[in-house]
Amino acid sequence: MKIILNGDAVELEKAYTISELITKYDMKKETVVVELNGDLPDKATYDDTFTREGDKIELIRFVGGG
Amino acid sequence: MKIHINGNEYFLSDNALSGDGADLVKPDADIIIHNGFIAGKESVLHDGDTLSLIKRGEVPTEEEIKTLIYSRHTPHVADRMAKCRMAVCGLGGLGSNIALNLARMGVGSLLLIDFDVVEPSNLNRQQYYVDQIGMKKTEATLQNLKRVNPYIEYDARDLYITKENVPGLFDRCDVIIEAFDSAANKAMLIPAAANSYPDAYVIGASGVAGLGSYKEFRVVKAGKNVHIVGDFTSEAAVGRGLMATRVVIAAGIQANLAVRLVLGETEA
Repeated sequence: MKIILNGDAVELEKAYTISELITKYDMKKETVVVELNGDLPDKATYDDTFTREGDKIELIRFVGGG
Repeated sequence: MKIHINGNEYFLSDNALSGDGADLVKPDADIIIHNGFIAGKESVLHDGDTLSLIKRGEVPTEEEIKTLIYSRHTPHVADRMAKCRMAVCGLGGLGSNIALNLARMGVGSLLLIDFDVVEPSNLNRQQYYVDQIGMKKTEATLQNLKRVNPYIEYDARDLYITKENVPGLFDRCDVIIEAFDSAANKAMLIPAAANSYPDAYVIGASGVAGLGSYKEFRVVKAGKNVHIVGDFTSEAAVGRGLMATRVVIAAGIQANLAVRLVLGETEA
């Protein structure tokens, strides 16, 4: 399936959960905020929300320091 | 025409200059500020304008100070700020500086949240003083902000923010600013606050460590009401510190954005 990930067209061989997608891109669920089709879903839903054809997803990485 | 001079209304003739207002109210004033600009005596006044008259070295009355604080503000900004409530979550390098900026801007109500105490290692970037080491950050921040602007409302809470206590925490806030240190806490608060308070603006930060160029900073928009400031990569780590000159830039971008959004601007 095709999705738009952080602005780029990406071909996925299967539907991933949001959590799996975060891991696939070497990020950690605890420190990422996911924008899915313009919304910011609750982190509790990352494990059972699957990517769908045409999804627009941004993985926003947070790093420590402030 | 009606002119506001040091907080009071006066009626001046239609072709009056700033000097005429000064002669009427405070002839010995040596600083004449017309609509936010130090203008001298020859500035042409218009109906509804504001004049601030200051004699250098003189301490004005408390009533006068309340308006003179904002005499260098662009017209109408102080009025809009006075009606706002903004939350600053975390009073460290980002938050203590953001809070100070917002107090200077005259934000009417500031909700200030932190659970920690002032430590010596904070002083290289945070708005605290040596004599405040050991104090609760909420208490130290209140002490400092009240010296700058005692005329706004402060709501300081010694509290550790979790996903569970976000609902109900930010009622009536126009802006919620994430100013935490921990990446996981940042990533927890931002979606939780954005979803619990869809009518508020949420402003976060990520990537402020080190001494990288200001050019690396950008503002990313997320969801319907979230903006995030930073370079998204400069993590506080062994060998990469957190220092005033860079952290304060990010704090300034966050605070300026809070003000801009409330004033109706849409671009960061």
